[in-house]
Amino acid sequence: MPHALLLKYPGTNCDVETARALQVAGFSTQVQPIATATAAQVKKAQLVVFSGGFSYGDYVMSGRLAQLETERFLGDALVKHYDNGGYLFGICNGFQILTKLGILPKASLIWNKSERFECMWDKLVKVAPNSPFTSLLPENFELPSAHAEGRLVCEPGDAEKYLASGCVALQYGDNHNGSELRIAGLQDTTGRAMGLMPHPERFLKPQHHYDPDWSEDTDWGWGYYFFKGAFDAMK
Amino acid sequence: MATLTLEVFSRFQSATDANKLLYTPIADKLTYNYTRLYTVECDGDIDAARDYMRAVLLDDISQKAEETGSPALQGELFSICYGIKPGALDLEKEAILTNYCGRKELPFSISILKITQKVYVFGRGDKDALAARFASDICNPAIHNWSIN
Repeated sequence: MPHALLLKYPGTNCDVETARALQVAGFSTQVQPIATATAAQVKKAQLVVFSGGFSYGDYVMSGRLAQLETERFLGDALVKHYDNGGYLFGICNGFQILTKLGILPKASLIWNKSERFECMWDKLVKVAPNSPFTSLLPENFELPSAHAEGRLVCEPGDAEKYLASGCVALQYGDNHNGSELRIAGLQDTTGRAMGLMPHPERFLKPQHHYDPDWSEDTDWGWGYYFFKGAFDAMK
Repeated sequence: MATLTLEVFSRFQSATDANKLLYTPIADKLTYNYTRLYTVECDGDIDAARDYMRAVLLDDISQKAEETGSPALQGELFSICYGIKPGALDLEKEAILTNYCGRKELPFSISILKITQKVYVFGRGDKDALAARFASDICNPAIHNWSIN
């Protein structure tokens, strides 16, 4: 059974739902506070997950202190995990942390164009063809979002390169936060590392949809298929 | 002992309606922008301290920094610089210093870290009266120290 390690920071607040989503998809799951995380735990895992929340209160900038503390406690264990074929998945604040760690293509997530926290359901478009995380999803689907710092920005010209090279995993339908090229999720070129701002763990079951009459032809909410797709790729 | 300053501001943020900072709007057409000003007093390898500050406090993609001590933004009617009072809980400072203290190999020592938010207000009007109005609405005397320039 594939094993997932979910790293938890002070201020992480989606670890319980995310761990549950991983378990429902079939992973054995360990939630580990970063201060007691070890390289051996990372080595044991096929998937390392960074869940949503406000690590370290988003002080300085979202994800920065989590990045620094991860490097302090785990050294290069995550890079080794990735180099050895391991998977990484970052959701919302976890996406912000993954971009800071330098495993995903170079980008930054800054304040929404509205300069406000925004909580809503996003229409999403699947872009990357080779992502195990989105392999079971339709071309268009919905997920809930809740973030203040979700506007993806890059160095000039990088967003276009990412789109051309298959590193853009997801795009927004309406781009409420002002991200470059409507990017909602990024992945590396192999698809083994992915981050996205919306919350798949909050739409595991059809009952989680805001519309009580939601009746797509599926037994699960769209979020479930991120975890199931990753599980299928690793089993 | 050396003093390093880093005034960080966003590449993507432009001045916007200053009434957002006030409890009740004013008629003057003012705009504002803001920066984050970090001041560190340190001993040892100053270049390493500067590198550490940049690595912790600056995002090269989305931000710029002024390191000379000159104001990062220009042309303001006035600016208000405010920060947490000594002794009050400053979680940002605590988080940064926790990371610093956990990195035992650093070739410098930080004795003081001061964090302030600098609000630049642009436009025309009675500078003193407007500055007092903005300071009154932005700053909380229970937890903040501030200065107006």
